[in-house]
Amino acid sequence: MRVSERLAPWLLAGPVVLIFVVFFAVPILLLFAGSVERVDTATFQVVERFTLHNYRKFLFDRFYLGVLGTTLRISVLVTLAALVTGYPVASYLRRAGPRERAALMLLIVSPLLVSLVIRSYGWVIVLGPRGLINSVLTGLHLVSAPLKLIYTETAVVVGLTHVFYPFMVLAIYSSLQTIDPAVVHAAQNLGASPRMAFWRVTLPLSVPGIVAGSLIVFALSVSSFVTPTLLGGPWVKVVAYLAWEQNLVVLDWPFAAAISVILLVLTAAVMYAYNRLVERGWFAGVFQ
Amino acid sequence: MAHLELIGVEKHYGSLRAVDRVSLAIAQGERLALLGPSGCGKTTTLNLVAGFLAPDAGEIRIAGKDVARLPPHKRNTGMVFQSYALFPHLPVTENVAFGLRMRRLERSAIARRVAEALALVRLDHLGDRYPRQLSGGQQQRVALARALVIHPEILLLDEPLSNLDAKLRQEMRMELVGILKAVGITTIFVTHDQDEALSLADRVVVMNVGRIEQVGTPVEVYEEPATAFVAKFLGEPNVLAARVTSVAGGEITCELADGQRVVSERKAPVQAGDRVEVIVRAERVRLARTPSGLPNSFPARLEHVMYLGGDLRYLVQFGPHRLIAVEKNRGDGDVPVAGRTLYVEWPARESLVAAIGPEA
Repeated sequence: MRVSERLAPWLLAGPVVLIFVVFFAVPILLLFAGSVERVDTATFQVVERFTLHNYRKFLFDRFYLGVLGTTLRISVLVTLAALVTGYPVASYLRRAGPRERAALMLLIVSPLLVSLVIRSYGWVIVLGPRGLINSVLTGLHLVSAPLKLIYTETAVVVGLTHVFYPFMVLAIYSSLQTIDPAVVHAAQNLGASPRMAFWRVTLPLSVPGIVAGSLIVFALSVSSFVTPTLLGGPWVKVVAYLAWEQNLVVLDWPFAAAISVILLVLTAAVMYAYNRLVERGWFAGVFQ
Repeated sequence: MAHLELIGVEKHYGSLRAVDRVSLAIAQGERLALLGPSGCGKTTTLNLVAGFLAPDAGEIRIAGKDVARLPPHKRNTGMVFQSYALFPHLPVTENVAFGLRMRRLERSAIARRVAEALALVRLDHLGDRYPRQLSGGQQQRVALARALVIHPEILLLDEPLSNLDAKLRQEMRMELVGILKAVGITTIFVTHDQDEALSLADRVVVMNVGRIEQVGTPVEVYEEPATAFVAKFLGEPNVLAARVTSVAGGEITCELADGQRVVSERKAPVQAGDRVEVIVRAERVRLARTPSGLPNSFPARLEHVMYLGGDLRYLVQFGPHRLIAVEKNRGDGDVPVAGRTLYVEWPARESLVAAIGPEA
């Protein structure tokens, strides 16, 4: 009885721990280990067991740093776009009746129900040189030649925002739901106009949802691969694409591993800093 | 002139009349309780005054000015919410300062008034705490300070003590009445608790299904209930079904189902032959070993005695009728035991006769 009581937590958590170790912890460790090796790309022989060569190669190269910069810029823009467009929707969702809410919810999560590739091709159809927008514009003679809409950073930002925006809406919506409506009434009763009540009460109280949504969207954007490849084409390269290229085209696995580690560490650092800034700094009261 | 006036105020939800032609006038400095069961329209009335709801008809005048179409932030009412609705992301001082900041007062004036308000509710030492670090009673006081600090025309309290446990509620009731008297502010509070209404208010408005049943001082509504609803809602009523046999010389005589006669000295709009309810409050029913000559006196059997420490409750059966009688336990050891036969009695002025209306 006693023994089984002591064992129970381990037995219950066991399967999940096992999966986590086998499919997450071990691969990550292998990734770290691989990233400090050096192979001869002609013979595929390991020439060095421990070297920072791969990291130097990335961090002292303008091309690679440029790709990193593009990736971070796209991710920040996607996060901002999802926040700015997602907040009003979450806010509306909070006030909607149960039926309207169910319908809207389905609409909002619909991008998640379609394959990533198909969704991105949808944007190709809309943004392409002979796509929906350009056909309309040239058909109406508003522009003489098709605009370059696809294979731009903007196209990538638009595509990624569309894909990840449900996460932002749901995170903000769930934090709005925890706000007692009486608190907003109290602000109005004390002389706050509806706009003031929003800035002073609703918005600060929904900061936990904004933080959660931003972190999810940022993390997903920074590591996205399919959408940037399809909508950015050869002109917009992101870090995930580099890692793929090194891995499967150049076959320099250690360099690919180093690229992945750099992206992982940087993303973790950005998320940690953001979280800390908000939780400890600006809105300490909200996270009491 | 009335400080707050409601004239023919109505609020409908579909076919439901949540507030139905309510008219009220409240004098400067008066404390008014809206009392009634849940769904009687009392909270809706409060929200209409605060401006969270717009009336479908009628006028709401504060200091003579019709505010019925003004949004809540332009009405200058101070509300204490049932859930207190403190701002969880702000410390106590900022909660209290909120209304003053919205009014763009100077820094020094805000600091001074916040300190005064916190001193008034004896919380000056907890200004830096966040709401969730406070007990229920302390949160209640912050909410009160936050509402009073803006010097509102009208103070609105929504079930002010309902979230406190019984002992704390008694203490806060005393403290609240002290603070309200000291400030001298016109106050409306909503409650379903008659003790709260009777002890805190100058006048009590008893409401039922959106309508006002009676307005009066605590003594008036309790001792002279205007309607059967008020008689049954306040106190602990015994209700006996009966038929009027005669109305003569200020005395109504009724016959119970088994033929026993009950006499009332109260006025009621009834005639001989009407089906009525005779209502007697439990604490006005007396038990006696021998009949003492009261007009309502019936031989009865004591079915059950409930010992409540301070009170004794008796369940008494006479004929097919059951009555509850409540007496103070004076500790003189003379507690009758169940199974005894005795007399239940009450004076003629304690029987209230009410016609059985179409909906009652």
